[in-house]
Amino acid sequence: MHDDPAADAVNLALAAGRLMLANGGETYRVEETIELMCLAGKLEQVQCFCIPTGIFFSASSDSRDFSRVIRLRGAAIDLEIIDLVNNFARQYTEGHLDSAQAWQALRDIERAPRFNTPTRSFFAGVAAGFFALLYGGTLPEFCAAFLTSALVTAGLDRLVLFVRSYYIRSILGGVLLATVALLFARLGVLLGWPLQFDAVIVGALMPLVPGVAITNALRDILSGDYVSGVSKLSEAVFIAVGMALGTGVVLKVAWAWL
Amino acid sequence: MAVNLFLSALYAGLSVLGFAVLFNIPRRSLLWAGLCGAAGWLVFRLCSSLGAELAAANFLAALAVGLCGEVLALLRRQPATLFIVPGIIPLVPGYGLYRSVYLIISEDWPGAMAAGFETVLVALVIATAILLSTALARISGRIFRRVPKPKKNLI
Repeated sequence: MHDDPAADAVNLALAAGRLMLANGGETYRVEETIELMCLAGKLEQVQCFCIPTGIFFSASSDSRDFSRVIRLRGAAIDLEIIDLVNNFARQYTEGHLDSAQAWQALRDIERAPRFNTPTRSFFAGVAAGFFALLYGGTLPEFCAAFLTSALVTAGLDRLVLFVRSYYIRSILGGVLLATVALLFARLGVLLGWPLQFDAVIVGALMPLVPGVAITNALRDILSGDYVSGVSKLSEAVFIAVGMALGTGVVLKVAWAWL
Repeated sequence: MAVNLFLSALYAGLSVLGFAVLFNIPRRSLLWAGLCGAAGWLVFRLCSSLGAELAAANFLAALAVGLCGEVLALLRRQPATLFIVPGIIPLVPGYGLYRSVYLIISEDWPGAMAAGFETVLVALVIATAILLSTALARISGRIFRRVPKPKKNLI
């Protein structure tokens, strides 16, 4: 790999681009990063086409042509990695890194620490609780939304390991969320603390619904990345379908039953 | 009234803080993202209470978030996305999308239509505002020579 600097530059650029795309980097940012890194590596005719599920790439150096296809599944938003890769790409294109340093830097970025599940659950709870307050909730709704969302996040973080389909995960997340929220509502009634159920549901749903996804989808479409935008749009819609089915089943059965 | 306004901005900021952790934001950017979100929600509530319609209020709020993000990006030398993605969370119609589907499976067609159109409209104006703020940042960067002109050899 190290005897051909052009091939090395291609591999580096694609590794960086892939890392960005898999962590929720915008289409234009990924394409731009790959192109600029390749140009810095003295490649010519660099073409790069990104969609959320893959990268298509071709370029040529003095001696040979390169063409690569990278297949990706499932992106999660990780802003720290986007920031780190962005920084890395800037340093690399300014020529501050040699090949070995660059690979080491990318490996370090890939192993950048994430917040662990308890922390994520707690902050999902914070996000949901304050959202319940924004939607007209008071202290009981805050507590219910906090606990529901924390539990659901912990559950989904575990579920990611077993269930590959985002659609099935959304359905299961919806079922879990509605069940827990209903239990808290019943508990509230028993304790003489009736809840505004809607505020609890809105708050607890917020960390799961694809609001950012649908906005990013439109952003892609409006900036001319049509294929990327439409695929993000379809993902957003079907996450919402899954969640609505999951919560719907539970809520409707419970309504009939209570 | 004013107290309510700032209280709700505070709630929005704290909620955005929570979301920022879920998006694994670098720790040193955490508070800034929260501030961005609070600013956006403040503009939204202010516009709504002054009688702006849903689309206009969302547009102005998202523009505020976008511009805050771009300014922070310039000051802190980090991508603007870091501040914009968490910052627009309180505005973004994720719940609206969920509700439109929920109303479809409840066979409430007019309700589903209304919620669906509202979702599309809000998402559209937010995306427009973000694109506009990015474009404005690029134009002003060109004028003030802060951003190096990208080199591209197309041919």
